[in-house]
Amino acid sequence: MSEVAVMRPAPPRRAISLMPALAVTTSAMALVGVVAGAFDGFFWGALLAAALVLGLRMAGERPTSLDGLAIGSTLAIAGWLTNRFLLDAVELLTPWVAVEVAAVWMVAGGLVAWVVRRHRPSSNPAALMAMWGLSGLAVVAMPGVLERLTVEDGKLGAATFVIAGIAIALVAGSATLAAVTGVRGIGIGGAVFILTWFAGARVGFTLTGLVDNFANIANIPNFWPPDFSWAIGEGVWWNPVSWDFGSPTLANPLIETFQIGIIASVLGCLVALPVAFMASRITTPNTPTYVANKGFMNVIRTIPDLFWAILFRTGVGVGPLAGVLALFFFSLAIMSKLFSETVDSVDTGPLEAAKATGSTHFPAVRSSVLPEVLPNYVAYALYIFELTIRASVVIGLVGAGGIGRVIEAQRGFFQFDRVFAIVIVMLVIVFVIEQVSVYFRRRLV
Amino acid sequence: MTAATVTPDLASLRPRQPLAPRLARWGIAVAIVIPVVWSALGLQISWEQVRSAPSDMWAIFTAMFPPEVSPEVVERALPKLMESLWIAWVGTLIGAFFSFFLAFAAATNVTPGWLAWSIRQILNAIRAVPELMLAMILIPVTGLGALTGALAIGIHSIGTLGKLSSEVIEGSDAGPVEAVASVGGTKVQQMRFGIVPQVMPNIVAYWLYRFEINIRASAVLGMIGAGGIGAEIVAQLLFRDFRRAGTVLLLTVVVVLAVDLISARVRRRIITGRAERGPLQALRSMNWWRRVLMVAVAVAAISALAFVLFQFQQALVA
Repeated sequence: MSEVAVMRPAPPRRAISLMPALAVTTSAMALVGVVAGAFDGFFWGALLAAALVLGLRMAGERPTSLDGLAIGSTLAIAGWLTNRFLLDAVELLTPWVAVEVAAVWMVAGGLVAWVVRRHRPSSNPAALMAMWGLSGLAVVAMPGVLERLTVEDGKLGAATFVIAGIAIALVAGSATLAAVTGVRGIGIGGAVFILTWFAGARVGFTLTGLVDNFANIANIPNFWPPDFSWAIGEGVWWNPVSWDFGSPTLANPLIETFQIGIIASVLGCLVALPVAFMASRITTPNTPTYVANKGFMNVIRTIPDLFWAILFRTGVGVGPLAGVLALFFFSLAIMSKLFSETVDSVDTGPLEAAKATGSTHFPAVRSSVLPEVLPNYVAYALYIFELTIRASVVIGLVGAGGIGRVIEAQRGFFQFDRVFAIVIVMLVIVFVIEQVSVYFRRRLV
Repeated sequence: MTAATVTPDLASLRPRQPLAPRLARWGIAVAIVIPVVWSALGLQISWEQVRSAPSDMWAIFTAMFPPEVSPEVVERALPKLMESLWIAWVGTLIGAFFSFFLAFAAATNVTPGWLAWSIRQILNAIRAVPELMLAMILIPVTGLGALTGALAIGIHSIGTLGKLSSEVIEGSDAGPVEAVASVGGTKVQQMRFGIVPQVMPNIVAYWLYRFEINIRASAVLGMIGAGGIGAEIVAQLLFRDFRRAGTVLLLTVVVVLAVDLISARVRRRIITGRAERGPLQALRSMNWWRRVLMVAVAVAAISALAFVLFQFQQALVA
């Protein structure tokens, strides 16, 4: 009977969407931020708030609009104060600044803790406050100190390790606290936020900087309008005589691009057929073969297309052969991965039936599994063809044949109008190929 | 009875296939073979080149081995590799953020047909431009550096993620939407409570998947100066310093592989909604020699990582 007393219904909660509160907070902060010229601090604060609120929701909490407003504005203000300290103190980052920032964040953390506690009385507000204080410290430590410790010749200072350590400890700490308080979302949201903050700082992604940068568009010479008369103008496209390199028309490298794409995708898809069959447990009971193939597939998949291109350019020399080989491996990697997953999900009934009639393994696979996956194979092959054509445009940048070498040359001369024209021409062609391929794929599967 | 059994001519007993599929088969074969032959002839690749290609590549790979894991190489490569990761992360976030809203606008079950169609065409057009082209267009605007790479990847991701997410939204069940509508929910509430909870796992899985792809893309972007590891491999191969190039390649492969494995695991977790066996549980279910093998592999991997980090630290101390 005491069970009954314990199982009281939960107090009714208002199920109001948090979206309006977050939207209002963020846009108000953005507005104030633009006026005050400190957009980034608000941005990061609001982003942190969004991560936190989403984390709470993922953990099954139901923070109300008021909670969202409170969390959002508190953290945005904390973010702004931090940025202020950070910007002002970046020349002389004394321990006192760090303490001040940590204090600001502990106040913010206190409010967050209060909000969390309203919904989950068992949570530990002191722990939450400590966590937010730590994150305030990390906020100072990571982007600011890292930039400051970059010595003259671009080397990272030894204290990078300390900072990386703080970051790791922070992530681990928030995960631990999430486990203690039972609010798992804090851990996920905190980790995502810290990662984003760090990444944004390293990449130099600042919103004010972005606006400044895009004001540069007007200053670029030779950008607009695209020089179509150069790209598709003179010369006769269908005349083989004009296809040699150096002719005013682009027909030669353009056609070379497609030829590279065609050969590479056909060869890649052909080789991918056995590789994919050998990389599926259903068709390959032999463990060493399976493991070796799976490993081979995973490793070649990690190397991007242009890395292949530059490797083969170095190996076999400048020219279309390097491009064909590079894209062969590129298409082989993707095709075997996609297709082996299809083979994995095949219905094993026909295979067992074929085995039951006394067939050996290979004929059984050929007559039962292959017909089942062939439509997918063709559909994937079309998709790979699309991808390869798209990739064949860029491999020329490192000297592996095709239109890329023309683009690279014109880019070197700062002829951006010509580059732009080629890009648009390629875009149209790739677009058309893709639409045709999509049409056929729809019919196949 | 005399054993004058007639062996049936099995080939003649088998029914002949109708004409149409056979013709289609030949048609497809011709449609593949002719372009291939045309391409092979048109590329003017000499037979000598093709024949010596394997030995050329073998020479390169042997020159790369063993990779030189010295302080000065690691010191140059590791921060650039991390920069590639950050670029991919920021680019994925840009793509995820914008594509989330565009996906709803491009889904025919949310948006009127003509509007959805036109937004979908915009997404298609964005998708058709490779990241490298975008970066090339952006370099004059935002300059050489990581920001350009992040923006290029972000813009391209908007196209791909928008398409994938809108397809997920279109495949969502109409029931919850009708339920929210029947209790008087507005259009936004229908989307928020009817569609988002259904599609979120799949969409987040696509974000992670895109992150995996973007790491490769950001590695490449360094080649044209948009930040990341690509610049390093170009430099080492340009100076024909193959053992250092080998280090860069190896580090890239290891990092991409690690992110792939983790991300694939998280994606499966998100989609299926249940935890998988952890490495320790998996270890417990193995027989003894597999256990020994796995532990050996793990120890080797960790000590290799520790060695690389130690070299990095040596470079910093020096």
